[in-house]
Amino acid sequence: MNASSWPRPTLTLSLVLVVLVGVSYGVLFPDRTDYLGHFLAGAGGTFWLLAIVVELDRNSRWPVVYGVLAAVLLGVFTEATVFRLAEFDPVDLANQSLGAVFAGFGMVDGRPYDRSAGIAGVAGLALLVAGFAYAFS
Amino acid sequence: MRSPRSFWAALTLLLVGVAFAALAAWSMVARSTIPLALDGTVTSIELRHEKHPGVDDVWMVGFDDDGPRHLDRAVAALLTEGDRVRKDAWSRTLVVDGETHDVALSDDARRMLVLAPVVGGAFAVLLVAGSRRP
Repeated sequence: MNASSWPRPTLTLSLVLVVLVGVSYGVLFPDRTDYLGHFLAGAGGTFWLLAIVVELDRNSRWPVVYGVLAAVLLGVFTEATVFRLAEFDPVDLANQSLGAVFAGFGMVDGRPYDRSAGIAGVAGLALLVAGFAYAFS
Repeated sequence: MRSPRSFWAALTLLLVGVAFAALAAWSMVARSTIPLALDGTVTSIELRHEKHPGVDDVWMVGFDDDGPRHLDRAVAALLTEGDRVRKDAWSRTLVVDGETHDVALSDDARRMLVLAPVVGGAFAVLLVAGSRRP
């Protein structure tokens, strides 16, 4: 196993922190599971997007940042349209964007040959499913 | 040893993250009206339901000098249409038709003021980790 193989420290740390911050959301906002749901869904969806970015670009530092910004903008669009219920809620947008930033940190030094994309895909799917479950439960 | 390109990319992520942590905290604090200056007449009070009625309800209060604002339920409960409202920014006293009321942060706002710095600290840890050469 070379130095860039799994477990890559930044991705590992990012995933651990997503779980810890997610637990913090659950403890601090026990009645607002939608906050936790938006956070997890933002992280999961962005991990998926960045899995593609890392596979497409071997020099994937700034493209990862652009990917996070694209995910944030996608969040703005969905919050303003399909998920706009009572209002455009900046708290929902912030929560999902915080998740997106955690994903960005996890993938910022990812490379096509270090299995980051595979890990991000699996973790992203789990986070996305958990996010939707908490947001709509 | 650090890679400058990784550092600047990670720093950009940190700034974006801190901005959204601040947005979450500010949005919740603003719903208490504490940071706001108000001077106008209530033109509308509307209860809107989200996904979980009774839990995540949204109280939208309109003023004659501004569009509807999302305010805490405790604040909206002090108001009725036609009330004259006055408040200085960062004051915790709201004057409604000459009667003073204390306003306070909601539990959610207080909790977000705890969580936001924690998230910022997590980003700082990731900045250090993410700026190291792989």
